[in-house]
Amino acid sequence: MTKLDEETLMAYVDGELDPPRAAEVEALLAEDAEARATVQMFRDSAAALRGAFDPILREPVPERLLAAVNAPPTGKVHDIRLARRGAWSRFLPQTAWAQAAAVALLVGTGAGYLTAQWRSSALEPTAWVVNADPLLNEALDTTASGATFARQDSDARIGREILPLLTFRDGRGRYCREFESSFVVAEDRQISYGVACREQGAWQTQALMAQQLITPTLGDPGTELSEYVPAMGGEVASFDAVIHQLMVGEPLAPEEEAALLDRGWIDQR
Amino acid sequence: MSEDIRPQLIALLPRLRRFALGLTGARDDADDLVQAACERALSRLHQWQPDTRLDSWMFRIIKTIWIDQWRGQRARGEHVELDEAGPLVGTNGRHTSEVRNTLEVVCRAMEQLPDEQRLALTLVSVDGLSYEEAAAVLEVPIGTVMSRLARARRRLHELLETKPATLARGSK
Repeated sequence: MTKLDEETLMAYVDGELDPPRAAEVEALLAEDAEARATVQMFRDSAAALRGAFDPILREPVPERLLAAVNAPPTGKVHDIRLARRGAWSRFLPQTAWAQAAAVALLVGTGAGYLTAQWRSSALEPTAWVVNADPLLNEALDTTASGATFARQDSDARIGREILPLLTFRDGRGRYCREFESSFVVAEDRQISYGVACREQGAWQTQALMAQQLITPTLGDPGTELSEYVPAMGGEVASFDAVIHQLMVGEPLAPEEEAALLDRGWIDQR
Repeated sequence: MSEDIRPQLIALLPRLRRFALGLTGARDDADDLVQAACERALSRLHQWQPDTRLDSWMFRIIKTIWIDQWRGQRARGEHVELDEAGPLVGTNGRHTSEVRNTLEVVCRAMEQLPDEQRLALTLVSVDGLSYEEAAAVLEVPIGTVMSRLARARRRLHELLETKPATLARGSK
């Protein structure tokens, strides 16, 4: 007689066996009292669970859960992120899209840098080295999530705006922040999204999702905002995956973040 | 990407609450968990693929948040109590207290299980997913789901058969 293992008996109880196999099991059960007891045990445990938990299905769902699903954006951190992402997708120029280089995702701690080249003919292409970005460092050190840090460069032609979106801790205990960074020239704005973690007193960029504009073909000053197309979903998803991988637990609450801003990002204790 | 999942999500809430209670063993924690999962899902709609199952996606989000928070709570040595105040449907007080008591005992027993076993048990035996569906949510092979599930059911049975009085202590 073939001995029936526990998992097969459980699969039989749970209706997971195909009919021929189930019939085989039934035939064997007729001669095996121990197996019949095991089947009964699996039936009892399933029934106990259904009996205990099924009443939950008939309870009214608490109002706060319905509210959480139906809530329009309220300015909470997650909602800000969502709204900003939507805005960002409208800013991707079609011409850059056509070159299949509309979005660059740079991931890493060392070599990542962003070459931001402006399509505005008034400006020379400029390279911004992300990991030596004092304005970003200052913004992330001092600015609460949802607030905008803004500066003009010395000749006031380029504005820089940094909007921290989210603060969290990573698995190594570092504080990390997701941010939106914009370079602004007159009506023109180039937006990128990044995540940076604080280490040895400085914010190190971990990932950056940026428009990579290629100047020569974008020289036409007549390009209108209405020509812009949605972002590539894949890049947005992989950028989020980086954040998800780094993040341990939930984002910090506003009051926790405020305390860190006050203390200069030094842990209490 | 722009599809409105809110009506589907509302319809799922009773199942999500039941699943979360199977994990946390405490009503308030379960509802907190569902709320956090809904907020996370709505903020990551771009990751939702409309041709896949919303329930599996939500279960995965709940699982992820629960594991993260569970680790945090274990580190601080907190013990989670089943909230006595939650409303239970019942036509008379006696029925309600019996239901509450059964749930209380089962939840206390489930707390004795390792979290991977509790996840498999809750997905299959509480929610009723097939082994294959549970394996997809947990991102493990079906055989792994089966061995966790069999061990969980055996242990649960022992706990409920031999120590219901111990498990129910403090209730009433």
